[in-house]
Amino acid sequence: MSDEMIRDAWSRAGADAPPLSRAALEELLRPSARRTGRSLEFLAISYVALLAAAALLAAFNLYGYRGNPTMLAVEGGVLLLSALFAGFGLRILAELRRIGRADRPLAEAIGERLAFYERRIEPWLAMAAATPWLLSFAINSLIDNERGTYRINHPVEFGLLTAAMLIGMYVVLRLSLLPTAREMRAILHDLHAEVLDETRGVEAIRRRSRAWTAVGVVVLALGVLFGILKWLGAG
Amino acid sequence: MRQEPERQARFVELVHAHQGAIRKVAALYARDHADREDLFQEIVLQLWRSFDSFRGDAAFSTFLYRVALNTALMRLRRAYRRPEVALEHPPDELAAPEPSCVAGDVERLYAAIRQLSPVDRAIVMLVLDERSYEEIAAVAGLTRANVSVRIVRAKDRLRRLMGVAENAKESKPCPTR
Repeated sequence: MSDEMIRDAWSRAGADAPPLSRAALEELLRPSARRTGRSLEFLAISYVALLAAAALLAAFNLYGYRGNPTMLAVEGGVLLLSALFAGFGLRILAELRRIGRADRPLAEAIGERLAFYERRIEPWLAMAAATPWLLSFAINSLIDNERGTYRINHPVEFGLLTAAMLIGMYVVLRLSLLPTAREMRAILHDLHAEVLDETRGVEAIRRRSRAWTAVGVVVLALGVLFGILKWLGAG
Repeated sequence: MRQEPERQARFVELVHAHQGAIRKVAALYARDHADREDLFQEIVLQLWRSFDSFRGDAAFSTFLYRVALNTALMRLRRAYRRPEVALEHPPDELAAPEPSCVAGDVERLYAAIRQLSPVDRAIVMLVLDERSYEEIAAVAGLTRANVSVRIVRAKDRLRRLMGVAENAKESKPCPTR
């Protein structure tokens, strides 16, 4: 096929489906027709909301344990960590909205997404893993405030549960997003080097990641079960 | 706000005038007819979400191609997650577009372009749409020199793919829907 014939065929392309009317286009823009598809942003908003709650409860606890220097230090630490993590979360949210813009040059848009997944995602995942624990501790210390004292009756189990929760949450969060980072890196390499073979490796990586995610979920579940059984036994 | 209906009307007019380009992007990056319609709608929505950033200092076509191609590329990435989706042939494998179901020159051309890498598809589309090298570089975020090299390579591959398609004599029309 000559170049002229290619151009002729192309001139007829795009007209293979009837054009949408203006009314049909307006219908597409109705809010009910819009998709969200912004799961990372939802995760970031939820993360910030949980930390705000943890910080608020820790502030209450500062008053509730005002006569207990040890608990004042602990609750102060919870408040400080919650505030710092929430601030980082707001930064993450702003960055997600920026990299979500589709009106930038292709290489720049994909490069910025890749940079986010390579440099921001790891520290954020660590903070996100700690967030449920911060909130639960703030709630427990508010509920179990006995005239300004807080007692951990089973420190070993408490420590093990805390470790299981932190590690399990981190593993699950990390492995759920790791394939995305690998895919983005592959797409970026495709942009600059046209090495499509790398993207095929992504499928193998995803299968392994699903297996490790399952392991993380099992560890977390066992930790919670252990804690419940110990609590029932103590009762 | 009073400006919202006017803004939407202006957007609809611009998209209505350029929907052929959106259809071509959808045809090049979607896997089937239903996926094309899905991608077309997703591109229109992304254009609407990004419309505030269009200040009119560059051509609307540059803005449109960037949004459409970014949307298509991100969707292409998500397509790798579905195990039932077969991966594309490597670009160096000059397989003929499926001869068992072609519907004329347009579909053969689409099928040939889909054999190219995601970036080369974008570049070939922009060349065929008679965009300048500067605009292609602005859309892709590559240097003009890089774009020039890619255009030569991509056009050469496309000619060979179309030549193979022409030699595939056992083409028959696609079933009508």
